[in-house]
Amino acid sequence: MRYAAGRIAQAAPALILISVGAFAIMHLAPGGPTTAYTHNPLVSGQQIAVIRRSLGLDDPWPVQYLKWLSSLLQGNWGYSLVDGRPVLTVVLERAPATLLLMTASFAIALTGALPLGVVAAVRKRSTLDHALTFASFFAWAMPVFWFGLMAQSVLAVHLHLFPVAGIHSTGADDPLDLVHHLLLPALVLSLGSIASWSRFLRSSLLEVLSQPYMATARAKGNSERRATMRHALRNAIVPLVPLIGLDIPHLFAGAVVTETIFAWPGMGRLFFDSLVARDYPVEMGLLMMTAALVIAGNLTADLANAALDPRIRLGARPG
Amino acid sequence: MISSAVEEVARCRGQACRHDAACRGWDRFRAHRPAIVAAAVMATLAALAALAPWITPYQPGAIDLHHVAAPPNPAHPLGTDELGRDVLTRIVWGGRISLAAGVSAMLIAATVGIAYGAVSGFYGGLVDSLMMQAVDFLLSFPAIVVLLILASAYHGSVLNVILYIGLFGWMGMARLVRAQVLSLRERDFVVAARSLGASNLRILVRHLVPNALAPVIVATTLGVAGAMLIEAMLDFLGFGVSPDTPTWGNLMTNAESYFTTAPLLAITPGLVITTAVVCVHFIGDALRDALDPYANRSGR
Repeated sequence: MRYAAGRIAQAAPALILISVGAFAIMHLAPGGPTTAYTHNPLVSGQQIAVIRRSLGLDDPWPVQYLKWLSSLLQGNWGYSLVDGRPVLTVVLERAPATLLLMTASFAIALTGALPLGVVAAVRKRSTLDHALTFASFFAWAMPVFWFGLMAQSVLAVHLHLFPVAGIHSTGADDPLDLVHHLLLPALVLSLGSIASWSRFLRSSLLEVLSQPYMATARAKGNSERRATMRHALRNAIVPLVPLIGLDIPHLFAGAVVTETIFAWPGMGRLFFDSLVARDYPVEMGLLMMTAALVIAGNLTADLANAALDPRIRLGARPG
Repeated sequence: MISSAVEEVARCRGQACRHDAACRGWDRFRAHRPAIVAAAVMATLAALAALAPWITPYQPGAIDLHHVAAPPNPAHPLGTDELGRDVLTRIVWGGRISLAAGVSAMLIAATVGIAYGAVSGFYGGLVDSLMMQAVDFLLSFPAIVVLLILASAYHGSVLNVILYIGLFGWMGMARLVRAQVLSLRERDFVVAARSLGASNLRILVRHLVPNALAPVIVATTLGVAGAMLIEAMLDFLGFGVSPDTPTWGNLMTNAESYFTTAPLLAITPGLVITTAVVCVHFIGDALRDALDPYANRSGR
């Protein structure tokens, strides 16, 4: 519990620092809130000065930052430059689709990576292991957008196995239709994680399998299967947990590309659209959102790690 | 690096070199057979890209109105794109930017990382803990999101893309170098150098950094693979090098719309990127075996 409290206390300053970074980017980026008026001959320099004053743009930076932060904390994240709606509303209405996509691809990645990693480690240097090594190299090396395009063209456009894009067929809103639309993007998004997690699990499991306590486990009469599954896997998974936590930002980057290709109405697609439209308030809202996501991911990973490995919890250096 | 590798080969062609560290390194690299193939493929790609103006049959922007989005034919071995430009020519030209961008971005990252990590590890104490906290903070940033924001705000030039990728890749290197320098700075050869009157700067530059270089070379090589992928992604999303410039990522941007009529347009550049990234990765893996034999070899 003490460990958990300490880790949560560490996360707060990181979020504040990131908000400073976001604020700085927003103010250094070309364009600024009054750009729309500077080229308008009907708006005089004097009027721009009035607008600047009313928006508080003449205040010193620290004052502006504190005002921005306090309204951020009160749930006022500014307004989209595209349609004038509040940023928080725009972002939150896209969040469920992204969470669904990321959860689905996370589940696919875990169910794919665990058995593949175990099989590769148990059958070390077999043909299957070599084939998996080769395949994961390729899976890792393929650009996500290219794999997405290929999967979309072959499986959806040519073979009609999946819908090409979107989240619902027109007029339909049953869960089955949703799952049908979800499968292909989730699969594309999970490929990289399957490759890297299964590789990592393989090497970590190989290391554990050569530990003396594995000999003990076998000597006590455990079958090889039971020794591997009950004794080795449990220990081999521990180092995988922080890796999974660190993968969350990559997953989000993948979501930007995947959602763009499959017209999935989530935060990734929103991010891409806001980048194209230079909609800075929405960009910053999403930056803060992903920063929180990344920190939460790291935090969860650390806490899960502490739960799995008493040495971390009790303050000893992990071995 | 290539020229020194060539020298090593030349020396190893002789005989008794079992005791020479460089030769043993070369032996270990050679033992990694996929890496030899990968190195040959990469050398070919790099040579083709370097010689592009002299060996490609067309100009990269030349338009052939008789062949628009054409399948492979005698005049255009890989077909033409939607504007009638020769795909083979554009892929060879694209390699110039895609390869150079990946390598230069990681050279920037390595340079910054080495300087930062060496200073942090050498001075230790408060300096070290502050510098490393800054690194931890930067690593907690969703780098790819910031990268996309920057790239979308200021894009178009190759140099910008290289800078962005480089500036987001140095933190890992800094950590590597710091860890190496921390363990090296107490060694006898450093004490010896100091007792001979060497300055801090000289000890850092001449004694510590060269000895800390092996894992950095490996990490840089592996990083090139990642940098090439990021560069391609930026191009594909339209936030990278300006779209008329042939790069492997740009080649795929428009190909999407023509997939049913001209599937090769999208398939070929993707295959080239994937091949290059796999090759770079194999080379990095073999370099790890060669330079850093005691490293924890994950994934093998």
